[in-house]
Amino acid sequence: MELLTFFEWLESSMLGQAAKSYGGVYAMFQSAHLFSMALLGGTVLLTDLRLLGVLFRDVPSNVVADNAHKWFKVALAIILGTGVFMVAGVAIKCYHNSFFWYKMTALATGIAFVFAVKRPLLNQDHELLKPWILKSVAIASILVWFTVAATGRWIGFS
Amino acid sequence: MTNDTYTAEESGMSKVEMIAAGTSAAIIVVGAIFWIIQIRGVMEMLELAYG
Amino acid sequence: MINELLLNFAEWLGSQPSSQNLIGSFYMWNWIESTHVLTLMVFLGMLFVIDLRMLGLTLTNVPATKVNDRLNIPMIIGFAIMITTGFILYYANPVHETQSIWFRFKVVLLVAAGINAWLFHRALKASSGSWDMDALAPKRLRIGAALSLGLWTLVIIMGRLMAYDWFDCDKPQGAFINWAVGCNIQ
Repeated sequence: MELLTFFEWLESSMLGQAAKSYGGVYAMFQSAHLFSMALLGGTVLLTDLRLLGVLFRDVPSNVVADNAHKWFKVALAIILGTGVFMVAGVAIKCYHNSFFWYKMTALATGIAFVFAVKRPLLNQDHELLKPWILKSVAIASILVWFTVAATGRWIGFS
Repeated sequence: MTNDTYTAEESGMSKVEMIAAGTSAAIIVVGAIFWIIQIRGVMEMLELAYG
Repeated sequence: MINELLLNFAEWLGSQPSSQNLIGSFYMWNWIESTHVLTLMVFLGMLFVIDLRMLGLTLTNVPATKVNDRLNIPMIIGFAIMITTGFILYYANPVHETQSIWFRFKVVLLVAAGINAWLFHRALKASSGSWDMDALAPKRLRIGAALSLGLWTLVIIMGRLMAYDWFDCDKPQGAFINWAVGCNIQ
């Protein structure tokens, strides 16, 4: 039950109290969260659709992937920052919400996948890599980030 | 950056490629199972509600 | 007068059985709403990349018009899904949204963003070629891209605020809200 203690502490912390008390501020954080979700999704799709050969076939996929990754990192940073604030306001509710945990699992998977697997692979010359591996990575990436967003939306519904 | 993974050509897959293929396959399989379970859960619920 | 017309129309729309079924359906409404929100990643995701390219902040070594032309297709697909689900969501709860100050701001901002997009594409067509390989687009296009980022950010904010009930008509509201959304019409 240590984890629950942490969520109780988070909700009673200054951050949690601020998130609870100021509805307007909370809404702005949610909006920033959505804005960066759009940016993150855009950069993920840009890279993955290029790897799948749907977009920008005549632009080297290394170029597309490297450019997209820069903004992916910006989007991820805003998403994490605003996300912590959003959780803080309803921490105990989140603790008891199964979709919150699905989302966190998918998010942890997504981040680990990007930085430990996808980037080390895409840092190499894509011409020398097997196309089917690049395509599998793209499908896995779209699936994992879709899951993060979809389970995230469902936190509010369940 | 070392380029020891560039030996791919004849030996088939480099280490980075193998890791990428393995994790991608795992994510796709687990993701598919997760969504199938979710969809089936909803379908059962709707069947209970509307017959 | 206009508020009355809008409200009458919304009440008629909301009295349709399919509208009432939709708002009463947990899964159907949530799926449509989720589709609406998640498609932000396709529509605004692509748009942001185009805007950032014009501002010289990404893909600077790819011709700007190429970025625009290629990403337009997924962007328009995303937009079509968003506008369709958006209309359905309005149809599910027309009276409430008609009397929502945030919804009204959102519609105005959508129109502004639409005009900006139209002007942007006109300017892009008129200027085609000459600067394509430059990192930065000409000033007019940069302003259009920045406006696009700003306006769509405001649209997101208004969309998010629609879920908050501070200015709902079932609470006593001040003169401005009554004037702006017509809470006092009976």
